[in-house]
Amino acid sequence: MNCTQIENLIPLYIEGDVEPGRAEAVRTHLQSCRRCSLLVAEYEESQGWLRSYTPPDFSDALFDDLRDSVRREIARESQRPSLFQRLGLAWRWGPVLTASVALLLICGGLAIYLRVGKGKDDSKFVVITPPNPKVSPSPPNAEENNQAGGSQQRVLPRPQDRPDKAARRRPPVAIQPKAEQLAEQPRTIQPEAATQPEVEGTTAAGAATAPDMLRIEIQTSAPNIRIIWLAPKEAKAPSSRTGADAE
Amino acid sequence: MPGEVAEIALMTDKLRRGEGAAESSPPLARLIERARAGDATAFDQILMLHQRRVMATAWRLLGNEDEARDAAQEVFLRVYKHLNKYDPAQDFGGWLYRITVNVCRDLGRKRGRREQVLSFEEESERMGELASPENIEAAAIRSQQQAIIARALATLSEKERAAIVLRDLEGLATEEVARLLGSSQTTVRSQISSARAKIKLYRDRFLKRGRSGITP
Repeated sequence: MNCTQIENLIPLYIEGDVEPGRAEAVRTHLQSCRRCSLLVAEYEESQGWLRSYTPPDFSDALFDDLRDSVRREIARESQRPSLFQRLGLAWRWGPVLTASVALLLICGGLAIYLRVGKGKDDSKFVVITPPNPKVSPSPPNAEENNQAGGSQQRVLPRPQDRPDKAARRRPPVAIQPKAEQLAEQPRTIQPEAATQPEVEGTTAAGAATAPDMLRIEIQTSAPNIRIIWLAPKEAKAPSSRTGADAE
Repeated sequence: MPGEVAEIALMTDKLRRGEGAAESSPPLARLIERARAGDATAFDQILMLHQRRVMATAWRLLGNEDEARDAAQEVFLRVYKHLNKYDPAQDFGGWLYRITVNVCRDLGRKRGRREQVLSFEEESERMGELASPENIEAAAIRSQQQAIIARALATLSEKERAAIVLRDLEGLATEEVARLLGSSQTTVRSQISSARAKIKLYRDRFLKRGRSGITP
């Protein structure tokens, strides 16, 4: 082994922390290397210096105080109720606590249900409109409505098309039952502009309604959704009809 | 029973004189058994038997009497709480050492948060104050020397300090130190080697700054 290797082993060698084989190699090296022998001597001095780090003679008063404080802490610990005891203590208030929590849950659930339910009513509906493009003025998105398959019923809207909250909260416009005389295509249904003003739509559609048909328009809280109900004049008009009912 | 009390009193007296607790193993086992059954007097006797050793180890690890006292109190509280978990087949002294090292480490960390532990280089800078000729003279005084060694130990990492204190100051075997610290023997040897080299370097620098041949 060379000096560098021996130097690395010396901190362990001086206290006998090197395996016997290596220790023998270090011993052999030290016999012939004055520099490494000097290093060993320095390390031994340093270790002697470190060993002089002995604790002071602690007074008996310190130990008496230590024992007293340990006893006090133990007494305090044993007096302190355990977690289970604390839970048991809390359980006395259990019925009141449980009732309060249950009440809160019920109220919260009800509030959420009503809010969600209202939104559903506003967002699901059926639009039945006369299909006559000649009579009814075509709104900008009428073509899109036609492309929806020309079906008479459409379920709207997609999430991005939903009216804003303020619009949903707006109370629905009063039902406007109108008996309009329609000259042609008495029972046909035409896509109508979602954004079309109510008066315009009513007038235009009214002109196209058959004379024996009763036309009822219901404006929902959403400004672009209107339910138009066509029924034979003899039939009794429903007093009210929501989108959900129509569906 | 009176014989046992006399035996314990004798052991306590021996410990007060600084003698080891190894001889006291048979009655210690009985004391532990009784303490586990809730006998406060038995626990008190255990405390009496080990208080000096715990204080000394804590002092060496923390370098401060007040903190060592706080550490010793915490050690015995943990012993009390966890005595039921102690396996009588294992060495009680070793178990106690482990708790002591853990408590001192926790306290050292708390202290470390309060005041930044000096790095080796920073400490070397401050060494100039201690190494002035007047102070070198004063360093001959034991307390001053203790303070210097405490500073030297403070430059070590937490693990190096624990390893060197247990191995070189408490005189435990490397295997036992490794077991207590939960490390391999190789790791502990490496930590001890590094710690001894750093202590030597610190001492060399101190001597050099003193500009005299006075042994620190």
